Amino acid sequence: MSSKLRHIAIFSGMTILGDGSVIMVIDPNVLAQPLGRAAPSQSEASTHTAEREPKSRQNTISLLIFRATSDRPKAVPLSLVSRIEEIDCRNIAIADGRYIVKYRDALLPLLSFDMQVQVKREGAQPILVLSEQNRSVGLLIDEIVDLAEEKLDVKITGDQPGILGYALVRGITTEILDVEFFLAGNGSLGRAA
Amino acid sequence: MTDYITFTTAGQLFGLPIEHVQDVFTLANITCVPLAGREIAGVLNLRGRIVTVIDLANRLQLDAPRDATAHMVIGIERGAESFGILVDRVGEVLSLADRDREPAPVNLDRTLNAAAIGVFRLDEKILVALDADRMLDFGSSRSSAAQ
Repeated sequence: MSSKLRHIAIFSGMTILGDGSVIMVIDPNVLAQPLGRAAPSQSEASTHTAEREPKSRQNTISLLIFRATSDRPKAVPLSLVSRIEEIDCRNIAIADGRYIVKYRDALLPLLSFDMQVQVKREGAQPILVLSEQNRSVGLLIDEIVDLAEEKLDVKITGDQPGILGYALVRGITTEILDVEFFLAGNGSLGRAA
Repeated sequence: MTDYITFTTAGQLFGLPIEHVQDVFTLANITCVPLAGREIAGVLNLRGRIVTVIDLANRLQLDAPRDATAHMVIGIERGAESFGILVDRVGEVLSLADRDREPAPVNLDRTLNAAAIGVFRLDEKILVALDADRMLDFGSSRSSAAQ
């Protein structure tokens, strides 16, 4: 936070978005103060404690639920997703027989669960950016469905490439994304032979 | 002799010792910061660093009309922070002799006087030489200027 802006209580910091622009991060507790509401950690926690306690004891994590190449929901721990982006399909290029997109200062390989999928050449394409150290890949998805706080218990290991297995997320059988599979460069989309 | 980068804002010519200057760039994609005060033009991203941009005319409380078309930013570093000085136009670098620098006139506005280290009489204009630290010394961080 800039030394010149630190005194503004409503902003807790600033960050750079995927498109390079800077945005101010709002502190919701400060925003709520003029409305006369206490910080959630104080008053609301007491009324919701009964509901939340069982889950908090089970170590829930944030899961990003999405759809890609099929109607069955897929999920991935949000902490493993570097960014959720929507790329302009006109920026997609083909290099060495593979689809890539210019992303920030690097080239992001585009991967998919279905290697035969037709890549859109115009409009917006949502992707999940998965990163590890200095390696990043972009996974094509159809849409983000939701965010859930769940205990992740992968029950049946999957034999499908790109899937770790299945878990119950909000009572629905959900495919759990195998991040390592894609970070290793598998699922790379190539031109149809 | 000291090299000064010269710039104009609100019709007045200024100079800043070039040793403090890292960048000169055109203003683009600035994010305004509400509640920040008139001196802050906003924040922007310069090669991955967040730069706090200071509106020089507002900082020095200059009333003259601004040149609305040209907006240049002079990037300087102070400590671990990057700042940008928003000016109307950036001119050339001038080498000026320290002995030619005169104290700021007594009738110079107080805010301007506080940020200036002196003036130079050039052919037909007066150049106000600014001190980077004093120019950045405003607002809530003023009390910690000793650091």
